[in-house]
Order: sequence, then C-alpha cells, then structure tokens
Amino acid sequence: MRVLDRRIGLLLIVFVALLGVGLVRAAYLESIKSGRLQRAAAVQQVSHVTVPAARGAITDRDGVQLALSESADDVIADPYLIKNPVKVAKQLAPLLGQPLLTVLGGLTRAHTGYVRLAHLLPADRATEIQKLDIDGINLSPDTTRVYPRGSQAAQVLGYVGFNGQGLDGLEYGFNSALRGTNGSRTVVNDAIGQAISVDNVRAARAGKPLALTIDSALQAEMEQVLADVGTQYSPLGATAIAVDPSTGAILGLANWPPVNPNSPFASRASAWENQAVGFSYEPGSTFKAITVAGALQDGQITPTKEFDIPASPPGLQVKDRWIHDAEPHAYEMLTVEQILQRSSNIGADEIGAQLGAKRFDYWVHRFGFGSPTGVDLPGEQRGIVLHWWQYSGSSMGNLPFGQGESVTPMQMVAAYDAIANGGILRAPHIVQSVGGKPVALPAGRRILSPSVALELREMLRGVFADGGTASGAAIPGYDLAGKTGTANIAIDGHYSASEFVASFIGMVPTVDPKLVVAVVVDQPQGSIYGGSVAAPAFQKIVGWAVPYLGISPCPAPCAASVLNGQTP
Amino acid sequence: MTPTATTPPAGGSATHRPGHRRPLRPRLGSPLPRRVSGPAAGRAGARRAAPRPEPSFAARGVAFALALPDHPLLDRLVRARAWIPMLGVLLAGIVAMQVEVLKLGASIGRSVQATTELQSRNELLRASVASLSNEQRIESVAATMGMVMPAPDGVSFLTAQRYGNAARAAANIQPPSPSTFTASPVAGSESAASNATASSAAGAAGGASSSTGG
Repeated sequence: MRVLDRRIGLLLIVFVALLGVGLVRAAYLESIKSGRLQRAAAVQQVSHVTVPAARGAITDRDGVQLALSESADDVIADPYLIKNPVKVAKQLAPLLGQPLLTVLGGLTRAHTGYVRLAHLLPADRATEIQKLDIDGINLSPDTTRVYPRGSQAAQVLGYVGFNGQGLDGLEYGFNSALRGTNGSRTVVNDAIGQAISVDNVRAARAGKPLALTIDSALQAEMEQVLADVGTQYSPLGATAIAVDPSTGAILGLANWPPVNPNSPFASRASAWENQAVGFSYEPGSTFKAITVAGALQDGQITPTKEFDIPASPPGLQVKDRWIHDAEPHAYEMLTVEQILQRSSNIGADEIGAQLGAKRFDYWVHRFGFGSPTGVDLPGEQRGIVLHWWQYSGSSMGNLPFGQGESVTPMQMVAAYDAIANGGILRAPHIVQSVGGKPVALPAGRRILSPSVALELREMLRGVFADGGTASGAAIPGYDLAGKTGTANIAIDGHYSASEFVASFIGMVPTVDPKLVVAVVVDQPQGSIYGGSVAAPAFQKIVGWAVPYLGISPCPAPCAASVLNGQTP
Repeated sequence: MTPTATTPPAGGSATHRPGHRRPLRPRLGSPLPRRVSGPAAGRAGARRAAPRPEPSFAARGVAFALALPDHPLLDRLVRARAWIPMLGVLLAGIVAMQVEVLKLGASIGRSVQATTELQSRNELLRASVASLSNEQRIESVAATMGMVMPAPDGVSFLTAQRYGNAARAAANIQPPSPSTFTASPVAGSESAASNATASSAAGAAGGASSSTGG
C-alpha cells in the first residue's frame, strides 16, 4: 500500500512538473513574445479586404448594357516567398499575357516584398491564377469598367480612369451617382489559408444604374452613317443627333471619328469631344428658319409674302458688304417659302431687315441661342451670340442667314424641336432614370404659336421638293421638312473660301413630327454643301429609323394627298 | 431540537449560549414588575403573541438559497461520481461546438468566395450578351444569310381595326424555328429575307400598327 502511494506521489510530481513547464512556457509566450506573435498572427491569419463597389451600369432605353463594371484583380507578388521563380514565372506568364522575362523580373526583384505583376486582370484569368495556389502570389480585388459595345456612343458615355473616377462624358457628369462606396471585410484564415471567419465591417454599396433615352439600334445606325460620311468626305469631325421632339428625349447621338472607351488613351484627346455640345460653329442657312420664325410670329411676313431679290452677283449691299446667294441668278421675286426652299441669303437678309435688329436679337435669344440648352451632358458650350447693341453696321447683313453667330448642334436641335413640337422650347435630355428613378421631363416654354410652327414646317417641306436644296434627300412616301446649311469657317477674321461646315436638320413627318435629326459635318473634303454631304446622311438615318420606330409615312392630314397621287 | 423558552434564573447568566434567549436587562429607574400568578389564558388578549405573517416569495427564495449549502441533495451530488462523465460530456460538447463554429466560418468563407466568383461570371456573361446583341454584328450576320434591310417605302402600315387585324397579328406570332437560321441562303431567298426583316422591324414598332413586307 505504501509502495502504491509512493508511485502515485511520483506521478503527481511528474504531472505537476509538466504543468509547471507548460505554465512557464505559456507565460513566456503571453508576456515576452506576445507582441511579436500578435503581429505575426495579424499578418498571417487576419486580413482586411476592401470589397470594391460595383460602378452603376449605363444602359440604353431598352436595358441594353452600354457600360458595366466587371470584377478584376491586381496580381501582387512577394518575392521573399517565391521559392522557384522560374517555375512560377512559366505558370503566370501566359495568364498575365506578359513575356516570361518580364514576369521573372518581377518575381526576383530584390529588397522588396511587394511587386504588382498586373493591374486589373480580368476575373476569369485571376481565378485561374488563384487556383494555382502559389505561395507569395496574392490577388487584390478591384473592378474595371467595360464597354461591351466598343465605340458605340463612346463620346456620350465617356470613360473611367484607373482610380475608378469618371473622366469624361456621362461617366464624369454622373460620377457621384454611378460611383458606389467600397466596403470593408475582415477575414480570419486558418493555417492552410481557409477563411474561418468573415466579418463585414462595412457593406459595399453599389453605384446607381443610369438608363439613357438612347436607342442602341438607332445609335449604331447613326454611327454607321457617320462612318460612311467620314470615309467619303474625310472631314475633321461629324456629329448626328436624333431627338423625339415631343419630349426632347435624345434617341441617338453619334460622333465621328470613333473612339474606344475600353482603351481611352489610345485616341487623341480631341477625338473624345462630344461635338453635339462642344462644337461651336456658324450655322449658315439652317439659321434662316429662326429668322423666318421670328418674323412670322411678329406678323411681319406671311408664307406667301414676296420679296424683291436683286441679281446675284452683285447681290444686296448692306453697308460696306455685298451679300450674294450661293447660286448666281437674275433679279427675281421670291415668296418666303421660296426663300427657304432655295436658301436665299439675300431673301433672309430682307426678312431680317423687316424684323429689325432689336426684334431679331430678341428672337435669337428667345430660341435659346447664346445660352446652354441645359442638356444633361457635360461640357456644353453656350456659343457666341451678340446683343443688338453690339452689332456693327453690317451685322444685319449676315446674321439673318446664319453667319456671325456661333451655335452648337444641340442648340440648333433644341430650336428645331420647338418648331417640330408646335412651339415649345425644351432642353433635350439623355438620361431617362438614375437608380431606377425616372428623371423629370425638363420644363418647356412656349416661344411660337402652334399655327406659326406649322406654317414654318410646311415651308420647310419645300426644301425636299424639286428645286429645293435637299431634293435628293427625299424619302419616297414620307413627308419630310428640313433645312440645309453650308457655312464658311472664319479663320483669322476672314471667312475661308475652302473650309466649310455642312449641316442638315430635318423632321418627319411634317404635320406631326415624331423625329428630328441633325447632321453636322465639319470641313468635309470633296464636297462642301449641306445638301450633298449632310442631307444624304440625314436621309439614310431617317430612312432606317422610320420603319424601326414605327413612324407612319403619312399621318391622317396628308393621307388624302398621297391617295390622290400628289406629293405630300 | 430547539430549546423551549424558559424563564431565566433569577440571578441571570452573563454568558450567552446559542439557542438561549438573552435575559432582559432591567430597566433603570423602574422596579421589575411583580410576577402575578394565574392562568395565562386569563390575561388580556393584547398580551397574547400575534400570529406571524407568511414570508414573501423573495424571502423564501433567499432563505432557500442560504440553506442550500447544507442541503443534503447537494451533498449527495458532490459526493457522487456521476458528475465526472457529465462534465466530460459537457466539455466535449463545448469543443464540438467550437469546431462547428469554425466549420461554419470556413463555410461562410467559401460561400463568400463562391458568391464573388458567381458575380464575376455574371458580369462577364452580361458583357457577352451586350456585345453579342450588337445590332451591327447582327446586321452583318444577317447580311451573310442574305437578309437585307427593306427600303423605307417597302414597309407599309395598317391602321388597326377593331376586328380582324389583332387576330391576324396574334395568329402570326410563332416561336422562331432554328431551321430558319441554319438553312443556307439560296437564290430567291432575298425577298423572303426582306419580308422577315420588314416584319421584325415593324414588330419593333409595336403599338396599334401592323405591317406587311414590301
């Protein structure tokens, strides 16, 4: 019995001794090595991960994705932990899409534990790298902006910089809505790197999606037409705008030359300009409709009122300037309708003279020229429009036919929208909803009576008739109205004889327009006239759009004339 | 056994024994009342001890808690050996619970990773859908199949009548046949193709209008 007690006592002493050793060791780890071990655990086991917020998608009016965010990863290497750099480089090089030596150079860089091998690598390839499970290769999650339609509506959409900030277009203008808020997550990993605890410190908040009024099919067609114009006339630039006049919704907005938002810095900076709002030009004859509208609304003229048009050359003398028409002609009498149809500069001047400088200036500003339209696109120019007290003696010799004032294509479209919709000037808009919440329709203001707007549209119909400046742009069966414009470009205080801006703005159908389309071509080569350069582009766009949008060739008021075999 | 209250001896005792009542200290300045003999019941009712009130629930609880260390059940429980396996089971349960928590954490981690991967795939697929539905691509594919866009005057619009048109339009709605698209374009298919395109273009128009190929 005593022997047994002694053995048990011995065992107890051994256990107590072992326990003592354990306690001493625990005390050593807890006190002396505590800080170092905590730091090591924090580095090896606990990771604070930034959860990137997805930037809001941009879609067209039917939900087609024009811009969206995709997961992407930065690939980070820690050369200290890479055991076999050559083998790792061979594995990574094809996935990173980099030469073997470049990757190897990164993996063997001396005196650093952080080398970024790739920036924003697409998620599919990053996942493959993750599956390789290489010690010392880490992924840092992020997002990248993708434009699946390539160059479609690129100048409208803009692009995003490396830091996720919108730098141009709608990406810039609506950056605060599109950009979300990054989240934060704390992950505790076990010894083999598996997450054993995931704690969302802050949830990521995705950006709001943006739905546009653009129709991607029409947009594609407009870009194709402008590409053809670019190929045929090699202009400096070109833009086309299609708008629903009843709401001011922009259905298509194309620019040429094209740019690729997926590689934004591959194009020159000037190509990124959205010419619809950023290009100021002298509108030329398309502005005659504004002069006529003011005079009609003031009761100074009627569509049938006749004017004496002197022979050109020499044309009409206004102070120290001689105004002549594009085509030489003898003395003639022209009605207001014919002045528009033949685009007579002298006739427009005579109408302007009848209106007077003050009233002309009133109407120019009444139509919104000299101020931004308020379209929800960034970078809109206001143009240059003088007030009547700033006019020189000969100003009224060129202003009425669109020379001497500077406007943007969007301002011209807004003005023609007012003519098309019965006299209400409204800011065009391109954003339909933000975060699913519809954007309120911009308030309009009446500038013309419906009857004057209709009279003007009917006069503009003549431009497509025989003898009109755009007779070749008519679309069989459709009742079109519009106006050509060919404007000299002012260089060093003088109008160039070789550089022009060719433009055309029209609407369909005349009686109750459903679509307004403008085409502006900057410095076309080979041909310079709005009727030969811009009007055919208008014809192609409208010819494609009318069946697509379900626009009936001839609404009820003109149906009878079509049935009788007459041109509507 | 609780000792009964007895009258202290005349001389009193200076030492206090537990269970014995401390003798009353005589009041200074007043002689002790003289003891009166007689039956106790014959005294006035006011002198009789009032019945004790029932202790409250809390008081009883406190009393129970105070008496618990001396409770025989506890004594038996402490001295018994059943608690050893019971504690073992409890400890094993705690360990198992910890393991389950860790497994759950790992499962959450895997789920988060799977969610991220699925989101990435979803984004890639969305981008693919957007690029594949590009109208210019579809037009060029259609062109290789012999389809052409109809001229604007090749599309005619009918005013929807109350009877007839809607039924005709409904009857013409059919699911697309894969064979239509896999068949190679042959001579004479252009008109059929333009009809199809015209119909699809007018179909996009929707509303009250219907169309026929031109």
